[in-house]
Amino acid sequence: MITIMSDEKIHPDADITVSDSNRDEIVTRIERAFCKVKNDSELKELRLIVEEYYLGAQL
Amino acid sequence: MSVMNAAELEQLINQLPVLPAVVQRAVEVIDSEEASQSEVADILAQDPAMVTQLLGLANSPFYGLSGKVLSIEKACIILGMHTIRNALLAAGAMRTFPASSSRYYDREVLWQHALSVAGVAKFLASRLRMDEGSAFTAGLLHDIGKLAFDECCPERLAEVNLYQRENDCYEYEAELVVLGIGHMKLGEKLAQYWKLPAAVTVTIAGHHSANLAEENSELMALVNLSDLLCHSLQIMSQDDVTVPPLINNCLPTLNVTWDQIREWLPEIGALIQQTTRA
Repeated sequence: MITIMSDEKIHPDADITVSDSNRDEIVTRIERAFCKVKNDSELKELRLIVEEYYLGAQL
Repeated sequence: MSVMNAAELEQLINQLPVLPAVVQRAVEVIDSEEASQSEVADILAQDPAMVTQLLGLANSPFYGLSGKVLSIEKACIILGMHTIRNALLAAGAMRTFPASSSRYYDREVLWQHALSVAGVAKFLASRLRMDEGSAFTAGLLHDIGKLAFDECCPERLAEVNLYQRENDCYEYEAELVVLGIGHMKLGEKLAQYWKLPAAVTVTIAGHHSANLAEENSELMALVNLSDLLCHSLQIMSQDDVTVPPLINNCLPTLNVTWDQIREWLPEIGALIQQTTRA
């Protein structure tokens, strides 16, 4: 389960700030980018890392 | 829609552009192993625009000299002939397929992605104690086949795009169905024509393969991983990003773990943003 931390900058260099207004778009874009790799266990790892990067996910 | 027949493919390959003459001559001199810095500088001096492009690349953050080098001779001394050779090939490719001459693809976007992959590959190479110059060149040129398509048969690329959208597949799968050749194979042909280093050629040919090549597998794995990371971290700045498959045994071959990549991701993200803004 992913917990999204609102209005928090993930790291000093990231321009993308998660907020109520764009979190749905980030989730959608990640879903779309990884839509073809559902059965690839290695890329599931990458997807988790990318979710953490953008959303500060607590997995 | 019709797949290219053998004669059309041969015609396509025969249309592949040549590297600028000064780059060819300078690379030949460097490869002769008797090259002096002044000899290379003299050859390049015949093409001032190439000197500017090469110095721009040498002084970019990728080569870490940040404006310190003002002459080719000094660049040769500081960076070494091997690195200069790689930088020359990269500058030559950028000159051959200028962003200003886009036909079907937006070459600006293609070069930005190529520079991102090159920068990330160089970063990973430094962490993994691999050759950074080869990593940068292979990263920069990995999609050179797409630029060759744009140069030689731009009128067919709309069909590729249409097939990809209708069949929800990867771009290289659509190329294979529509054109009979993918950008990796065409890129390999161009790399052979330009006499690029074998490791770079193999990487261009196999960066979307299911399995690693027997030789030069580390560089191929490095560029595949860098490509994936760049696509993954450009989902907000580019539309319709699809993360391509990871080559089997990619991470074990590089002796790297997802935990290490997680740790490096902020630096990699910053590097990509820096490239995109450049």
